[in-house]
Amino acid sequence: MPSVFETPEFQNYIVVAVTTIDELKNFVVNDLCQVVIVDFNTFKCDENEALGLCKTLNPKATRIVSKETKDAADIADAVNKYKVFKYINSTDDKNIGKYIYEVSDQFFNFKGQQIQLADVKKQNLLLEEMTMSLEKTIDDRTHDLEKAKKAVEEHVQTIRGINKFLLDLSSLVSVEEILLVLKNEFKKFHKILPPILAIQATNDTPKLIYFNGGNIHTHIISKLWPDVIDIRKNNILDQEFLANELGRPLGPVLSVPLNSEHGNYVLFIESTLNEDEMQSLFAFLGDRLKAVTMTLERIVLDQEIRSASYMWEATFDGIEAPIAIIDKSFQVLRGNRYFSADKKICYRSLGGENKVCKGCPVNEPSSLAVKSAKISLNQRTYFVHSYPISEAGDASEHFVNHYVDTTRSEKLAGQIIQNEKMSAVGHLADHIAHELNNPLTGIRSLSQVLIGEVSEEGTLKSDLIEVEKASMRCQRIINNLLDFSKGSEPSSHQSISISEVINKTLPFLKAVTGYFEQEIDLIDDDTVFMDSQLLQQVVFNLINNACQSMGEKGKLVIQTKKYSRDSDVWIELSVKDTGSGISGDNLKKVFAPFYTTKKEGEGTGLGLSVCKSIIEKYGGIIDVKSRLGVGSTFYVHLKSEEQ
Amino acid sequence: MNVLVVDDESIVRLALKRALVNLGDTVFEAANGEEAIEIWGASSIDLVFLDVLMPRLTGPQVLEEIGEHSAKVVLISAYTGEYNMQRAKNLGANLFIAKPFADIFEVVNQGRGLVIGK
Repeated sequence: MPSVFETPEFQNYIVVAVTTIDELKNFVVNDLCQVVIVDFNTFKCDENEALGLCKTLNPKATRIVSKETKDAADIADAVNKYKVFKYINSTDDKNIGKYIYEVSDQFFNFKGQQIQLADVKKQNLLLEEMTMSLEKTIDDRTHDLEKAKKAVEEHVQTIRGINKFLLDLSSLVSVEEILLVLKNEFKKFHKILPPILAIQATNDTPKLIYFNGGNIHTHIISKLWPDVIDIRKNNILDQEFLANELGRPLGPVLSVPLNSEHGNYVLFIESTLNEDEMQSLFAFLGDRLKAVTMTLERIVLDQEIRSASYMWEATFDGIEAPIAIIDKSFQVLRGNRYFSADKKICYRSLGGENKVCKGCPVNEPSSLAVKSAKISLNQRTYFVHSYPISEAGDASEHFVNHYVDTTRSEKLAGQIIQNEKMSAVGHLADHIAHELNNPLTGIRSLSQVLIGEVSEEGTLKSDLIEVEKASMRCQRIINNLLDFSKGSEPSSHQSISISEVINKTLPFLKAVTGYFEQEIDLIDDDTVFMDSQLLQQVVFNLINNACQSMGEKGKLVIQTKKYSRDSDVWIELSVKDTGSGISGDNLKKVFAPFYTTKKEGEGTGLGLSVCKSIIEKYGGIIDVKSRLGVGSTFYVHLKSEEQ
Repeated sequence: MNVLVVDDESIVRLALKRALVNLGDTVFEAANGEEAIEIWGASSIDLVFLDVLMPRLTGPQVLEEIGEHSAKVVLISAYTGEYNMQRAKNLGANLFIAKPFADIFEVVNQGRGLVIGK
């Protein structure tokens, strides 16, 4: 039986001592057997058999032989044959163990190292295998990468091509240019003819745009092209349509619809491409169609915007009134042609003023209400309507100002008021005239009767004759007034001398003129052509007014003189008083009907306005100059009868 | 002859009256339409000078009221146009003279002439 033990000499080893060959077999076979020491001194068996067994059964275990012998050759054989590691001469008893131990340890280490080496070798092999397989992988990968790189490069090229195409498209401003870009783009496909574009923008006429020779033609079509929903080849209807419109037969045609919501666009491409090339073309088109469609839409829209914008600008400028967008500080943001382009402030630009117009609605606190106001600018009056442009519901910073020139309508309104006044005067005069006619008739008639009854002696008859004449004059005046108010022609024209008329009138005014110093300075040659009664009325009126303005004391000056103007000879009659004078404001109104400074009941205010009408009816002018506190002078200018 | 002068203006009546009296006529005066109808109905009138426009009853209205009569009527008025010779005839008058009178004697003679038949 084998005995198993540990010894301090063989630390870390378990020693198994076997004594028979069979036991040796059993234990040697075990992997754990690392060293076999055959001591032939004690183990009695065939050395060769034992060693042979060990080598065969466990070649890895280190074989050590211990034999006491003097014959080295004997052992050498075995050592070589069975690859024995060490031969120990066992005569040295005491140290054998130690020696064996050291040797086997060494050997074991050696063996271990060998094993390790084998392992390393194995590992190396593995590593080599791995390296090889890795290299193969790398090769494969490299190959793949190269392939991928090539694909990417190709892709990049394609993208570059598309980019360039897009860049070209983005700068286009007309549909014809699109066609040109497409033609160039298709060049790489050799067998393609220049493309044809059929476009119909919404609300626009449908057109065909194509190349003829080197030029681009635009053709208004007679009939609309067939509906093209998807890309199609060699469609009979399309080919017929094109042949009709272009006046020539067509080869195989590819119809490519450009899908847009803003119009009906189709691209027709004539080509002699085969199937494969056609596929390539499809891919090519696929990348580009959207861009073409969008560019087309952009151009069409741009043109629409331009024309709309132009229309608005034309409208804005064409409005026959100043209109502008103004901000709170009177800056003109946009004004039509009434606003001068270089001046940016409203009142400066529109009217050449240096300050805000009085009453300007922009000057007032802001609100969202539309404001209107009347302003005066540059001697014209405007009614300005200011419309706030509401921004986020707050009080606005911008206004649209519309200026309506009311100068003319104000003048007309003034004239209408004047006309109505005159018409009122006319009616009044009419009424008064008729009222007066009644008693006047009586006065005149009775005078006539009395004249017939009275005796020739004394002054009674001549006085009565004066009365009758006066009443006759009254009737005349009334008739003239009636005629005047009806607007008919004056009833009589005569050559009359102004001085004669003045001299005839003065006696009637004795009652009023008596108080005053008088200076009468009349030229001889003062004949005019007008109604003597009317002239008398004017004279009467002027002198009466003059006297009434002077109160108790004063000087009355009546003058006539002759002068020339523009190859005409005129006579000027002036009636001057030293009365209180007329203030500037009143001076403008003094000839207006119903204007009077006299108390109610003392004067109708009709006198001067009637005088003015009378004088102007005969082509003359009536005028006044006055100074407060000094007096007034009334001037009557009439054309002299002699020219 | 008997003459009726109808006018709301007293001085017109006076003038006509004086001229007619000087020629020996008897003159009745009426200041308005009602008076005229009263007097005309009460006396035998040969000639009437009748003012057209008077307050309340106008001249033509007076003529309507009177109805049948044997006098000659001269319509007088300041307002021409609406009242003229044709109208006067249509209203039953014989003559129309416009105011103001240029010559009172002419007026009186024309009126008397209707009655006398010259």
